[in-house]
Amino acid sequence: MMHSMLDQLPCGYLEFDDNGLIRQSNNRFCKIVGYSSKELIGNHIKTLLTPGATVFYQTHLFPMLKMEKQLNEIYLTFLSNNGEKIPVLLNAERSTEKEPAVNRCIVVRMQRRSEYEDRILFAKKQAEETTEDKKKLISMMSHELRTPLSVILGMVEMLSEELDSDANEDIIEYLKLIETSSNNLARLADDILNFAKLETGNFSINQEVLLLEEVLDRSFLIAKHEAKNKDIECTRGKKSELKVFADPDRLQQILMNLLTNAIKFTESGDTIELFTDHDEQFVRIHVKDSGVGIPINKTELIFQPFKQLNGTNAGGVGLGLSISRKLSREMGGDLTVRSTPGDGTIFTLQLPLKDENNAIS
Amino acid sequence: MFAHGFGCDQNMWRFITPDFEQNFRIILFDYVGSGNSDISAYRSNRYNSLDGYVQDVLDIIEALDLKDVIFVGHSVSSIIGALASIKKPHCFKSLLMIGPSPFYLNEPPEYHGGFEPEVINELLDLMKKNYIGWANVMASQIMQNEDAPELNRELEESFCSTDPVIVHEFAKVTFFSDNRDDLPLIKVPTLIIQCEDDSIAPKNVGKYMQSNINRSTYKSIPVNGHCPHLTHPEKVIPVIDNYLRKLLKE
Repeated sequence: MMHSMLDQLPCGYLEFDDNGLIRQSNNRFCKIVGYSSKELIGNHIKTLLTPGATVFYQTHLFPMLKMEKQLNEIYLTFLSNNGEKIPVLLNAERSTEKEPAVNRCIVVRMQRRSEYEDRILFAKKQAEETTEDKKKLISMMSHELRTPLSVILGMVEMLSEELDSDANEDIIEYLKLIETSSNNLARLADDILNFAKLETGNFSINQEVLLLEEVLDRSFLIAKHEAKNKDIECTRGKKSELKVFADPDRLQQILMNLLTNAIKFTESGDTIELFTDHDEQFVRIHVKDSGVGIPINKTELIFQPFKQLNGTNAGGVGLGLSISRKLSREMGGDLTVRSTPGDGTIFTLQLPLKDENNAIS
Repeated sequence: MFAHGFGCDQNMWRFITPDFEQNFRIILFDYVGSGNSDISAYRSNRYNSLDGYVQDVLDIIEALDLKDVIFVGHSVSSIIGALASIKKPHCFKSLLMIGPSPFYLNEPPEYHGGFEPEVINELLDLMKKNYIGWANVMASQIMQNEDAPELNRELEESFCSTDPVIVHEFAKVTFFSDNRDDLPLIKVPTLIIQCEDDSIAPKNVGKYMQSNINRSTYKSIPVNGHCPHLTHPEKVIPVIDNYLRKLLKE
């Protein structure tokens, strides 16, 4: 009676004891493995498993079944009578009501699904390897670019110093051009290198308690100098005594990125403003320009790597904001943007104020 | 000190330890990536060889200020314990190895570890499909995301839980490590418990262990499988008990 019920099941059925000896099986299971029930009974289950599956049975399947009493969706490979590998999905339950304990399994053959999973896993592995290779290449290239650029910049500086006041104006201009272009290239290489480091997690943030004003002042002065060349006015909001918990170098890197962008996208004769506000936990540093603004549906796009708004290519590859946001978040803050097309943009860098727990002074 | 092997966690010892609680202090632990261990402590460069696991054992001994440790290791943990005892022999009283193997691969004609590399690769594939295949997204989130405690809990709830990515690396370290040259360096008395029919650590490997460890005793038990402490604790307990009685009398 019981046998005929088991034989009617639309899946393989198998019972084995704690010694791994097969006690019962149904017709469907016999069909899957190509043995008769008579041939199976009394044999060890490992005779039906591939060598790798045997190890898995001994190290994982049986120990877990004994302890958890139930296993679901275990992928296993059986070996049929004619040596064919048969991928199956197995659910098992252990019964200890009567002695000796018995382990009951249902087995479903999963040839196509198994192949499909294999392909997905393979594709995933390939994609991961390609991404990893790309990251390495980017990192290596930007590093290799940086080295000769430093030499060029050094030489340009030396040459500039060598030139006296009545030197040919063309030569001075050419040198200036080399310097500007090399600086742009160096910044680009730095951006790519920073991005690669952030992507691979190969970077460090050294947060400390610092006077916000010191970093703001330093960044503002450099930006003001650049803005002056373009006839842009830079203004500062009210100064404060606020202390923030941040990495000073990373903070300056973010501020310089925001200020340089603002200069890039602001027309001559317009203004850029740097000001702050704060609450109990955070300070917000705003960089406001009076440029063309960003369409509302594009405000998140600009934080994505290698993304730039159409027609805004100003010598970069679109990594600066992506890096700045990532760095801000690594420091427990954030970088956001508000913009009104035609009426300028405000970038806001939020940073944690001095945390008493982390306070050094 | 009971050290679980590849595949599970300290719960594997639940049928053994009660018999020794009265006379011994019992130390149980999970390797990083197994059981309820702190997964965030996993560093690939620490655990890409058995040395990281050896250091873990030594760290536990130091942290608990243990002396005269009787180290009971299952499977790969037998070798982990052996390496730890080589580094700090004065901390160990004895090594008890259940189903040990210094090297799982065959190297004919002299050595037959029991496996060809293809079998180990098949096992790794099986593990990948059973764990990593469907759980890789979850696992990688756990590895990278410390602020996702709900995912950690999900793993912890599983009785015999293992982190899929870590256990896969543990498998590679286990099955591809060759520690045959370390065996003669073991100085502490060692008991080798071998199942009569164990396809992971065959009998000849147990004998090889015995002939290469100076102060070793070999005991075969009439059981098949690789986890006799789980399947046949009643056969394992008297073997350990008898050995310890003799050892402690000396």
